[in-house]
Amino acid sequence: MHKTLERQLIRFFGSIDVIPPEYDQMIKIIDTSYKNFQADYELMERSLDISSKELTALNQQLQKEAEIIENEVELRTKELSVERSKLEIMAQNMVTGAILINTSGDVLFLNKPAKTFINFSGSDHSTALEQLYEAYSDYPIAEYIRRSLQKEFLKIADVQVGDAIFNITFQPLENQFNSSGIMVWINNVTAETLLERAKSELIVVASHQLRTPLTVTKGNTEILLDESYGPINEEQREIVEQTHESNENMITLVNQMLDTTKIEQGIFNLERSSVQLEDVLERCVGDLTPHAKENKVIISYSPPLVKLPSIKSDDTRLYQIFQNLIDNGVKYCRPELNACTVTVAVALSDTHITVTVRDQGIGIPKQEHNKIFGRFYRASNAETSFINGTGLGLHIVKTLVESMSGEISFKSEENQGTLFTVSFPIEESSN
Amino acid sequence: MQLTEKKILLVEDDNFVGDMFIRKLNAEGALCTRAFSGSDGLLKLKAANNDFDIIITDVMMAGLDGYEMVLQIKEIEGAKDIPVVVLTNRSSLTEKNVKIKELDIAGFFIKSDTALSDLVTYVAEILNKKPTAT
Repeated sequence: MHKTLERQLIRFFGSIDVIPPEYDQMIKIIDTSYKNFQADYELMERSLDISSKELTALNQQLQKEAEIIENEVELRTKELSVERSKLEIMAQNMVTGAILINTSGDVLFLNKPAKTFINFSGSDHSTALEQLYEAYSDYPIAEYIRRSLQKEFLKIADVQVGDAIFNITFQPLENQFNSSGIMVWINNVTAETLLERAKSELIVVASHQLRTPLTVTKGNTEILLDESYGPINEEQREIVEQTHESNENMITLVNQMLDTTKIEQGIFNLERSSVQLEDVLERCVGDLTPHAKENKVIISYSPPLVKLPSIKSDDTRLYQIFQNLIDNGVKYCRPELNACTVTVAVALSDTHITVTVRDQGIGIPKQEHNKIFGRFYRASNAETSFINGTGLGLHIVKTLVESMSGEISFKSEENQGTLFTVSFPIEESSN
Repeated sequence: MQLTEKKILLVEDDNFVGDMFIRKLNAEGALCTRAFSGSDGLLKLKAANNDFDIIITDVMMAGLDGYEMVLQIKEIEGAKDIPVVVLTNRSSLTEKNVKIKELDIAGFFIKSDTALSDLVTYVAEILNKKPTAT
């Protein structure tokens, strides 16, 4: 009998034994239902127990995963802070001053050098702009910031403050920090600028000093040769002529070395005006023809039938390019030929003007093709010939052509000749 | 003789270079006056009562340099129209175009790159073009 029923019956009847037998049937039914309840209860309890265990397991798993995530976050945060401090260290310790300004014109960040340059101390960034304007008060910094915020990339070079010289760059930022704004970069370029100035000053002085005695020799030998101060005999003439010619070679060398030095130091300036290339070529060919005739070389040039579009370039330097190329053709003519021709031609395409200079010269040995534009290169087959050259001509030519956005190439075969091709883009004629 | 009786003021501080120019100009029949610096040039100009057909000047000279001298000459009534040819050995070709415009000069030559005969021809052309002042 179910224990609970037994307890209830004892409480009611005093003892199980005194229960009248007519209750037996009913007690049995109650007992069965008690037992059924008990079974149900136990079943429920068991299932509760199982779910609770499952929940605990689930919970534990979640907790574990949470821990993993937490660790990951911690790790990443650490990494981020390391990265951040790296960036911070870089930003603070750059030589360049950096100021970050947002679209509303507020200073969000400025690094140590920037603070030094604009005499800014303290932490209230709102006064930084004023300090910036004041530091470079001779320049319209506010105007530049305003324009830069309109996406203009701007630069002020050679900003002079006392003895110091700065370059200031205003760089619009595009979506780099989710919001755009600008960076103001301040570079102290005092040392570089002074060095550059000293270098160019040295070149000016050196050129002047070297050229002065060369001028005297050039002029005086010319005066002797034109015999305005009395006749000279053949032998004397040869002596003076050789002196004159060596001096001319020296002048060329000095000029080319100066050009090379200036080009390398980036202190040579190109003019940019509209130039008719055919005029330059005509002048060049005209000037070189007498000298070519003396060497039994014909310069053949047929001017273009139509007027060429103008190019934005430097007249004098263009002349120098073609003078060099044509003169090379004349100089390196094969001595065994009775007559050499240097052919100058111009071709026009939609986008370019191309000039070719073809000679019948000694050519450039194949294994030296990659060297010909180098400094002081002289073709090995030219060294033994009686040809004066400095080895700087083509180097200068290439540099000049490229600085005018042009291109130069060549084809050459030993003892056949060389073909130089120079092309320049045509000026976009919007007006 | 392309420069017969032409009155030329030559301003050049280097003795040898100066001698050489004078030699050539004399051989062409010119009447040369020589000055050795910018300020000397101004003095010689004044002493001659501005009576020169052309002024040929160097640039780099101690004291008043060639350009500064030209600037001052352009302020002198009676002298400002005398054509000026600049001869220099300073190495800037771009300087040429700038200075021709800026100083209104009639010619600009790199000395070591210019044959004397070319210089003489150039000077003669300028003087032939220019209507002779009374």
